[in-house]
Amino acid sequence: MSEKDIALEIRNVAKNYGNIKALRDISLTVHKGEIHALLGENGAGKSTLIKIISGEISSTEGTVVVNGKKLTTFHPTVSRSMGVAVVHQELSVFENMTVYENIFPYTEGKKAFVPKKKLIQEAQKSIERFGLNISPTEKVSNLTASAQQMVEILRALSENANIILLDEPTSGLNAKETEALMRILRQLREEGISIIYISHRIAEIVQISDCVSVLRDGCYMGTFVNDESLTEHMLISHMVGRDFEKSIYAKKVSAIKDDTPVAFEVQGFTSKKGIEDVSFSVRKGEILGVVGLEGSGTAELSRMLFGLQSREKGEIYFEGNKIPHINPTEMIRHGIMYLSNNRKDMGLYFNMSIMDNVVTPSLNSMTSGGLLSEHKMQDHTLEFVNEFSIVLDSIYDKPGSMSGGNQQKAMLSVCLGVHPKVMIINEPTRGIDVGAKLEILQFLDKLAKEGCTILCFSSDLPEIITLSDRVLIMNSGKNAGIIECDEISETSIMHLAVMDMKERAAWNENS
Amino acid sequence: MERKQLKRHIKWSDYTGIILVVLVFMLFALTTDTFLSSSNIYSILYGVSIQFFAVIGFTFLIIMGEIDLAVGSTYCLSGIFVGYLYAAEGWPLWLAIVVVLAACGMFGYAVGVLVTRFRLNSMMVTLGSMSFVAGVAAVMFNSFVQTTYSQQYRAIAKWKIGQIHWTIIGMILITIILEICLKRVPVFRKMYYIGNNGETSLLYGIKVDRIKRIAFMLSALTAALGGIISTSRISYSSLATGEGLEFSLITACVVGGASLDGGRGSILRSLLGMLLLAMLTNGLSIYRIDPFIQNIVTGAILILAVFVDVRLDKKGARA
Repeated sequence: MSEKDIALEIRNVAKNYGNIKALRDISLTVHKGEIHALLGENGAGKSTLIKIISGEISSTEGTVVVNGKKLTTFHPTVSRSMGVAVVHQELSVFENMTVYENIFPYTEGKKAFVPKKKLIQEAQKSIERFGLNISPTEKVSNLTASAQQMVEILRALSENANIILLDEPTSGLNAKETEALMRILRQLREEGISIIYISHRIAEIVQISDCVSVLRDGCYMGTFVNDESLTEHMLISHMVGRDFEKSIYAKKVSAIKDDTPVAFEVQGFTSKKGIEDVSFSVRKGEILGVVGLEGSGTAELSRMLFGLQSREKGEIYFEGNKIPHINPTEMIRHGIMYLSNNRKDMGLYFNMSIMDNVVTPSLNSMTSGGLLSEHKMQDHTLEFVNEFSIVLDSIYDKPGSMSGGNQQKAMLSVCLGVHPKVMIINEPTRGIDVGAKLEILQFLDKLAKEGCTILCFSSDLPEIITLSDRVLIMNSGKNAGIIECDEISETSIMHLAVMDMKERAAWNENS
Repeated sequence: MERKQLKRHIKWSDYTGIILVVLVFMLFALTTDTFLSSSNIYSILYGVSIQFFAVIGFTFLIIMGEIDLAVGSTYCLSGIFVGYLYAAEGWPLWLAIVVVLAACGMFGYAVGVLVTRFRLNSMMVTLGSMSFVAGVAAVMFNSFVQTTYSQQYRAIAKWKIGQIHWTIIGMILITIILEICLKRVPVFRKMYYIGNNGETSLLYGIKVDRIKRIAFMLSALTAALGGIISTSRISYSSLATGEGLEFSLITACVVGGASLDGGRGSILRSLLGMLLLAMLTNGLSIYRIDPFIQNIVTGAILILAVFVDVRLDKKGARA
């Protein structure tokens, strides 16, 4: 390809944070109309590279050439004006504003006044262009996470960007929505727009990208053209520098005996909107996977079970006894713990030290003579740091200094600090790299074998299949069925997850 | 290896308060003759030691990211209220004080319920309760004949342990005790967790709402206590008592390193902030600088403190 086809060129870029080398000597080229995947474990430097291109941080060495022009100052406005747009991993929409206001947030500076009507029309046009079903005047906080993500992508496009950086765009999306996103990306590629795509889902990358650049520990491992010869195993081995034998996922063989006592029983959970009469029980040491398409109520159910969201009806029995008040304090007192799916808003304290974080629910037991003991807290924290091999500089640093995978391990440590008998876990490996993911899955398995009962809410099917003794499928707010271990497969799960909806849709059409 | 994982970075922002206090102290000590006299220093300490009571509960709220703008009007009301019960109604003084403290505490608790149960913004709620309480104070003030209070009421603020007013000793003891509590007693420590992230605290079983309600109660209670002692000191009730106190307390907390977003601050830091403000007022008066210009200086100091704090914090984060 000629010089003209190059949209973005990165030459010998390096980034140092003090003594830490986040990126070393990265050179890669992105062509026009190309979906270029960026792959690497957490901490490999993908996000750092993205931030340099988008101008959020400056590079220590090297140059970035965007559309033939060298980036001399690193500033988001500069990058944006040169045609670079970013969609970050963490959603950054203005929740209290409408869809069209979110799609055109930058127009104000250019023109003094753009009629509202015209903006709505423009927004409608760009929504229709991708066949989406979103109203431009809807308030963004009323949209589902995936629709919010779409709004972010539309915003990126509204700036006439020809290079779009997508950081983990599918981490909050289910299979169907991911497919919709893929379709949009292909459409953009046809229009000559270059896409830099970061994801941990290798299958997705192989499916969509034209070529894949792999980073490992801040180093560039090479760019691979996505043709017939490229395999998932090959990419994984480049990422982690070791060959995985066969698939990373192994189908679980359940060892739960039928006479194992029930540890956790849920009866008739019902909420004002969404959840309808959900009942199930989990035996001691069992891992029950809970899955459902977005909007099926899995997220709501998990929050209700821990008292984070109010319910209309429903009872929980723990080891045969009814829990009188369902709120986090009471649940924790009974030995039931909740792993959040959102580290940032509800999960970790980013302005407190890692140690302060890890001891949070265990504060009352960290005392000697009524006063908190620094030694006890240190020992408690280091125990988990070693157990999970958490990579950190100092436990007095803040969680933000660690990579996503290590943050996830830290959050798991917070929960395990109270030695829970039941864990309600949400998306335990969302947005983290393969290595950390395997470690966490293995650990959860071990935890269950030691007698901890686990309810695992996850949208990652392979993960559910590896972990679960049984799987509960939610569909339109109802318990659509429970699949026993030997019958669990992606098809059997998806069957229950979508079936009812299809029937309903058909019924709606006929009536 | 473990030693390495335990190393701590020095956070300069932790020391802004103390550095400013030392600087201002040095400035006045070196440039004036009278500032450093023991009687002057003592009078600064004595003045601060009375207002100090009001900052106790207030600081707890600031740490949790809440605020109580009604501290000033509660400070004003309590002195008048005790005077009313004691001088006009003839109640025994101790009973009047107990009843007033209980009433103010209950009122604070009710504010706390409004904030936590109905998720109202505490700045808005207490802006309302500030006006409400100030109104009650004015009505009560006009309902009985104002005179200088009797010796018994006046004695509260003047009581001494040895050579020193009890309020100064109380201030020092309370600061030491609460400083230890905030660092090392779980229930106090939890206030920092709440201030840093209320949602996360809820998730990990911290009784966020209950702790907040109690803090609102304490805020009103400690403000009332300060107000009673203050009235006792000036020996008569005045509607000017506690005027603008809420703003000087906010300034004191922020200069001491607290953030209105919550998660930071401590009793010692608030005390340092109050000392700084008191020294400024005192020092500038020695220089015969117009009180209005003193306001300008106080405002500038507040902005400077916030600025320095943010700068140092950024540096600390990068290291």
